[in-house]
Amino acid sequence: MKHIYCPRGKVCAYVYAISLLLALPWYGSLVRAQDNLTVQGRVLSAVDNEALPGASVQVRGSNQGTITDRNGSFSFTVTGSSANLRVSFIGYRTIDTTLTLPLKKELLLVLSQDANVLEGVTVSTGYWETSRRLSTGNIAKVTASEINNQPVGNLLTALQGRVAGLVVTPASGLPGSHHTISIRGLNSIGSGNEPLFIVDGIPFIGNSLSQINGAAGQQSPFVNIAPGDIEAIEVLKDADATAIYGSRGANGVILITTKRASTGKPTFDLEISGGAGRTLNTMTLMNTQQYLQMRREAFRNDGLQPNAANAADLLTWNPEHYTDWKKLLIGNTAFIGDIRAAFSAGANGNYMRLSGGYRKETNVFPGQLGDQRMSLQLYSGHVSKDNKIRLDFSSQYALYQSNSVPQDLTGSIFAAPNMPVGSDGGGGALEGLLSLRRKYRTASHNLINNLVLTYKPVNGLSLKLNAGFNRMQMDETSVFPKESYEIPRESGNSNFGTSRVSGWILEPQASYVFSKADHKWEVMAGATFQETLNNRNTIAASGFSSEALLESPAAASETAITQNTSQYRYASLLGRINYTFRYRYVLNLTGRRDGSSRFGPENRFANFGAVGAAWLFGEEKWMNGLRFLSSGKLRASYGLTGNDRIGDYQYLDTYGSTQYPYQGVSGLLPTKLFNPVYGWETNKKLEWALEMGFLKDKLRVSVARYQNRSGNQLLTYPLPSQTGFAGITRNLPATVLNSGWEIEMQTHLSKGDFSWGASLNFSIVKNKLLAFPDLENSSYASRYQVGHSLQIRKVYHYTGVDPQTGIWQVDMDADRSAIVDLTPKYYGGLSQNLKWRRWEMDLFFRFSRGWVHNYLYSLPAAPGLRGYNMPVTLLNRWQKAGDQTDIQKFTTGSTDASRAYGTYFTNSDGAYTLMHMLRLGNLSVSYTFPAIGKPGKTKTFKTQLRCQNLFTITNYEGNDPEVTYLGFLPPMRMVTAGIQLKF
Amino acid sequence: MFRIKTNLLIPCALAVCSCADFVDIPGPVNELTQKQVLIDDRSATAVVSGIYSSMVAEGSTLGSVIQIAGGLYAGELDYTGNDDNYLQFSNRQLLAANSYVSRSWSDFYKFIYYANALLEGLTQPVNVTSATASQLEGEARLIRGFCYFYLTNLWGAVPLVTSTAYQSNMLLPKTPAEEINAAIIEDLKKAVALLPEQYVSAERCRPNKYTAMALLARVQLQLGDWQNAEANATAVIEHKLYQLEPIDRVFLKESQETIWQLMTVSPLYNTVLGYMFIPNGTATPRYPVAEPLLNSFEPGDAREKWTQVRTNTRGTFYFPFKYRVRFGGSPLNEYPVVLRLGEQYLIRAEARAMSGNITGAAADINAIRQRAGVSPLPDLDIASPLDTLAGERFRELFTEWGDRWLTIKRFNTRHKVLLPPMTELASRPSWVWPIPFSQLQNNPFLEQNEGY
Repeated sequence: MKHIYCPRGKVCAYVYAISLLLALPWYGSLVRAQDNLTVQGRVLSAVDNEALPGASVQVRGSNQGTITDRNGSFSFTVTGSSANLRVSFIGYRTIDTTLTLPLKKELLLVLSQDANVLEGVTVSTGYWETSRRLSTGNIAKVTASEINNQPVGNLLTALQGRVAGLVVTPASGLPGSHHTISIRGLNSIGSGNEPLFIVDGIPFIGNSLSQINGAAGQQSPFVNIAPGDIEAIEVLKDADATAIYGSRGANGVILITTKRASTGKPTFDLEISGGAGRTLNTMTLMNTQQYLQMRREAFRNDGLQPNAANAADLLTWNPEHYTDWKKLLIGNTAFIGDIRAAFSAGANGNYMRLSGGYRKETNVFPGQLGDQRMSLQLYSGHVSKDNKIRLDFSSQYALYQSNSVPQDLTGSIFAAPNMPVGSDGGGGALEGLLSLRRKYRTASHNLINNLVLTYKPVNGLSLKLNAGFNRMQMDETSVFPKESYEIPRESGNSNFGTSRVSGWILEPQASYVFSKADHKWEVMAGATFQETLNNRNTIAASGFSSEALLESPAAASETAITQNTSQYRYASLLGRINYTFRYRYVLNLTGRRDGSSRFGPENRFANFGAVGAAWLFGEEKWMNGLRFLSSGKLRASYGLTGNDRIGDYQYLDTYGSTQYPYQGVSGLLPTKLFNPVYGWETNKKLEWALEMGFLKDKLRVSVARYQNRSGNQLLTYPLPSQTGFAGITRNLPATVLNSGWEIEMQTHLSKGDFSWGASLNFSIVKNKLLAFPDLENSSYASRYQVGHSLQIRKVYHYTGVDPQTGIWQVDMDADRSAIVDLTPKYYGGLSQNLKWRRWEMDLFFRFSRGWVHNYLYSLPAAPGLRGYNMPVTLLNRWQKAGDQTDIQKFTTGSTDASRAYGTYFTNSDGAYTLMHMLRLGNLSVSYTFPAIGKPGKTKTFKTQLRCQNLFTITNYEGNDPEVTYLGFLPPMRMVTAGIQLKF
Repeated sequence: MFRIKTNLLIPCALAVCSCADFVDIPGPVNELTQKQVLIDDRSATAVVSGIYSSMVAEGSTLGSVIQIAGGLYAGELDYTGNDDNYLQFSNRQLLAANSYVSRSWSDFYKFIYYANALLEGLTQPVNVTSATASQLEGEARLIRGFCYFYLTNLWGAVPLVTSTAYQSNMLLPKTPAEEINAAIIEDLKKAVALLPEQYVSAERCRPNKYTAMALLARVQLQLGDWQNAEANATAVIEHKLYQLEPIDRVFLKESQETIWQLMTVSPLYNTVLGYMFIPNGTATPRYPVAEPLLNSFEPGDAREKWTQVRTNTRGTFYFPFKYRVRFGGSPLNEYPVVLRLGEQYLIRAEARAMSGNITGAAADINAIRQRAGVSPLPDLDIASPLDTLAGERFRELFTEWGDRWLTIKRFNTRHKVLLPPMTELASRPSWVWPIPFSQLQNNPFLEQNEGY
């Protein structure tokens, strides 16, 4: 993969390219061969003077031309004494030039980077690389600069809105929180929907290792990868790109590649940044007067008299006292500090890069709580003198430590505003306040090692071995001292969790590239062996002899241990044939035969494959007349992938230990009914796309249409209990269709010192359950409906607040027949890059529209209950007969009104709203100082201001349209300032 | 250079051959497959231990639901809570969606599955000693018979499942009650033959031969087989292992009256029933003893100590107090009793009375009355021996395994006597519970019971 990130010097490179172009006629070389003249040359990138493989070199108005090989070299024959040559490469400015033949020397063409293209030039599927130009599949790429512009700790956060078809949803705004990620909708009803993650060639666990949750919920495993170490993230979407991943490719693939070493003089990079963050807007809550008014009215409505037992807030507590719980609990400022240093050097065929980083991020809770990450990455390699043997090794290690509390304190901001701190009887909100006395700590380690050995015995043949292993471990401790309970206990208790995941992979591969005249073939064959071991255990400890020993399970008199281990093995053969004709017609065939230990012996193997084709119609002769259309490509792919995201050992008739021994003998019981013959979920993906460039590629547009059908769904099929269990894992001919449109546009304009580039991605998605045999009689009947999305909620139809009784009403006769579809209707992102002299500004907006829970869905209780403060918007409640409003009357609980909230309203379509949102996700401004020092020993200095989530335009009434649940911390607004030094 | 190439190719070639072996992994280390379970005495014994452990676990049907729901349904207990699922029992108006009906059904079949799995496992050639194999087969049959006895007495005709093959079991329709009963008798007779006379482990937590006989007597009484019920009860009563204990000691774990008890496994409880019945602090008892039962105690009946009074602002309530410790921890002095000698006397009394041996019946009843400190009946009231028996059973066996329900049902079918509270519902007494709604949904061959 090419490193094309060029933070500076674009103008110089441009001038350099022009000067080379002017010199072209004198640089050429001529070899007379029969009647034809051979044109030979190399194409280089102005960014780093490195070869540009895959660039197109064409004689305009003829069929003659070629693309450059991996050394950037090309050679073809022409007739005549001059030729109009067009050299183009996606991501670079196209050069048109006229050659006077014969040439005297080898032609040297240097292309300057085209700043309007935000994506990289080559794209990788992990098994092969291709130029975007000739790619038959759908591979999106997010580059290092896009990630680096964002001051976030989790690389998945940085992907939000960046890629068409990719949805990233953080669970909350706390550091380390888990992110749900899906590519092109949900495919599976009962199994996993997460894509396959590959980090530097090694499969990376996408699921959390958490067993005991903290305030941030399950911890994202991606916190163990420093975003600053990432070179590129590629998102593989269609069959052509994912079928080579066979049984693991159904949900798409995300390739994460860390930074490589560059050859050349030693360079040292240092980046230091620091900043602060605050929680995004949260709803305004009632003050003491309003809260007490609500409570008194609730008693009046219910016809009850407040007494000391049921109304301490009204009768005992000071009615003048006011605590702004929101400010106290989640209103603090989080501080972020990030330092990263990298050293890179190379000589005599050896190269290395060593980088280290430290990041600390505190959270908005009171006290000294926060997360920190230490990371170290080494990349080194060697290329033999004859270029035949190449060895690349990378190793990265990160330690992520979190110091937090077991519960998100956001739920506790709803405590009564006049509640004395430390008081009892505060209602459920008190639980959260006590949470501050508790501790939740984690330490997560991640080690990834990868070795790639490449041997090229003859021209065109490449033998490669990819080998690697990774190991992750997460240790969790949560401590509940006795005084952290509402009614203090005799002794505190603690939970301990340890998860270990280790795995290795071995992938021998052979590929051969050859071309003859207009034909070019690429053939690849390989195999994969992979193993993953999982070991998780927890200890729940209680009965401690001393509160000081709560973090030592050995000091507990009672412990309960759980253990879970599993092994996963995977073996497969894979192959690819790629045929290119005249660099206009491309056919790509991929196939894979997979064996997975997750399936019983009879169904252990399955075949997957895809066919992809592309037609570069922009290169056709007849296109020369259409001057406004500078390039055009039509591509399509169809293929079969599988989903093996089910648990291990499901096909075995396992016996597990009972919770308690009986007479000293630990019991063993069957844990499930077993079905030894279930097989893969299959996903048939169809895609076609049109990619076009206009006005010399100043505007590029691509439109993709996809239809993914997931069948053979692996579900827990409900059984009558007379079989001993409630269900069995079984394949069902249920089918889910994900279809959609993805539109991407890039444009770039420049004048003088000023340039402007913009990139837009836009996705329309539709998810539909096409078939589900006997759904009505299954346990899925209440969740799904044929003809609708998998993300529907079947709810009551909300009919408003009854003007007479003041209670939320639903249409009970219709039962839960109303359907709310939570699939986003559309979403996307718009990024803009502005440059003026040494100033650069990046703006990134993301937008979406769709049904989400409104704030009423997650009120802490029915409005009016003791101890639960409410948003002030609820003051617009029903008060007397005849009132027309959408907020029901206040109640003290255990009434029709409180049941109407908990039982009916929250299960009605009244608890949802159609949200639209436009958010300035990221703003980055930088200034690069003029370089100092002698040529070859320059020092550059850059300052950068980075802002996350600056503002949001939305119709959403609650906390945040992306984290709608009132009890979860909304995303953060963060601003950091930093400096970058390079010398 | 060529060497490198072959070195790379060899694994490739091997890969093709060995893929299948490579992905053939051993089972998990924290779980066993069936083949690994029944390899020796210890691991085979772990299976029955597992069954007992899950039987007695919190929330299990056999831990509390049968005693409480069955007690509410048969008028032993009242209900002061607001769980609609329990209210349906105390009002005797069950719905097919009742969660306890559903859970009980599922739990019984779960234990039957475990027993079937163990029985199937024992038919394979295994390295288990014959003594252990007999013991385990006897226990599995006893557990299976026990579960079917309750299934058929609560639901009538139910599917008779005797294997673990879900493909066929999932479609089984109801089997007539007669066939179920025949299967229970067969299982229990085999258990009698297979089980040893002595308890195989400490305490009386795993059944012996007399356990099977005692349960057989209970089943035979229910079926009107007076002769065999009397014979089996007599064998138990006459055995020196079993003695009637003073009222205060009946439910202690060392009680000599116990024929079969389940060991308490959770450190949270002494017994789940003690926890459920005994209210916390001054709280209102959730399941107070019903008034007809309270009123039936004669003055001086020591069994009144099996209830206790609680007065608070809501009124005065008596709650069951057979198990006297609410929480777990030390000392663990009570175990839930499944079968005890007192019941065997009453079984024999009823069997004798129905066979015309009134004097013998009176002697058995008096043994129970004397232990309770009430005066012996001079002779059984010939005019209404059934009333006497029903009353004595009520006072002796309330909150024990839905005994009142079994009595009401037996009196109706065998003696043509309608006992309260079924008299209130004479027009439409529900002699069976509804088949759970979810079961009808998942098995199209199941039909709902009449009246639901």
